[in-house]
Amino acid sequence: MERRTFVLSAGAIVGGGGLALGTGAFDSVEAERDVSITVADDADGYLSIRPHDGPNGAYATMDDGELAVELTDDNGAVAGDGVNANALTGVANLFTIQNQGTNEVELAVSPLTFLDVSGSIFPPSIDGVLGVLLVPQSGSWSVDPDRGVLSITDLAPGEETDFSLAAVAFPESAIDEVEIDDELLITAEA
Amino acid sequence: MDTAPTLADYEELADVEIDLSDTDLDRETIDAELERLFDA
Repeated sequence: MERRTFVLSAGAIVGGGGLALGTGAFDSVEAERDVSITVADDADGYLSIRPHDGPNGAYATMDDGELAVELTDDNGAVAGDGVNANALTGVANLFTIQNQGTNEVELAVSPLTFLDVSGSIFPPSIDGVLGVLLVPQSGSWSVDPDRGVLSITDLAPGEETDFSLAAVAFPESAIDEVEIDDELLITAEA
Repeated sequence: MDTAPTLADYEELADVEIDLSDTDLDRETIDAELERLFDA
C-alpha cells in the first residue's frame, strides 16, 4: 500500500514538470536591473574633444566643459591678443578628437574655412580680411563639397586625430576690423 | 587622401575665393604651411 502511494506521487511530480516546460507560462515577473549613465564634459565623453596635450593646446580652452578655440584677448593662458596682421599664422597641434566609444566612426568637421571680410564694394576697397583654416593632421580625409564638410574615415575605438590651424590676416587695417565668432560642428557616425 | 589639403580645397569647401592681391602672401606659401601643419 505504501509502495503504490510512492509510485503515484513520483508520477505526479514528473507530470507536473512536463507541463511547466511545455508552456513556459507564468503570470508575471518583476525584476530590477541597474542602469547607470553619466554625462561627461568634452574631454571625457565617448567622443573626446579636448585641447592638445602640447603647448599649443593653450590656444584652446575648456569653457563649461566644452572645447573652444580661443585666439583672442579672452584667453588668459596666452599673452597675445590675436593673430598678426599681414601675416600667415600657423598653430600646430591645437586640439584632439578621440574615439572613446566601441564602434569605428566616421568623423566629420564643418566648417573648416572661417572668413571675415570688411570693406566696400563701391568704391572697391578692403579694410580687412581674416581667413582661418582648420587643418586635419595625418590620417585619411576627404572633402565633401555638397555637405561642406571634411570627413576623416575609419576612426577606430581608441584612435585620435589632431587638428591645427592656419590664419591669414591683411592688410594692416585688419586690426580690430575683422574677427571670427562662429561655431564648429563635429559629428561622428558609426 | 593622405596628402595635405590646399588653399584651393578650403575655397571649394566654403565656395569662396580668397583674393591675396592686397598682401605679400601667395598661395604657394599658404599651401606649404598647410602641409607643415598636416605633418606636424
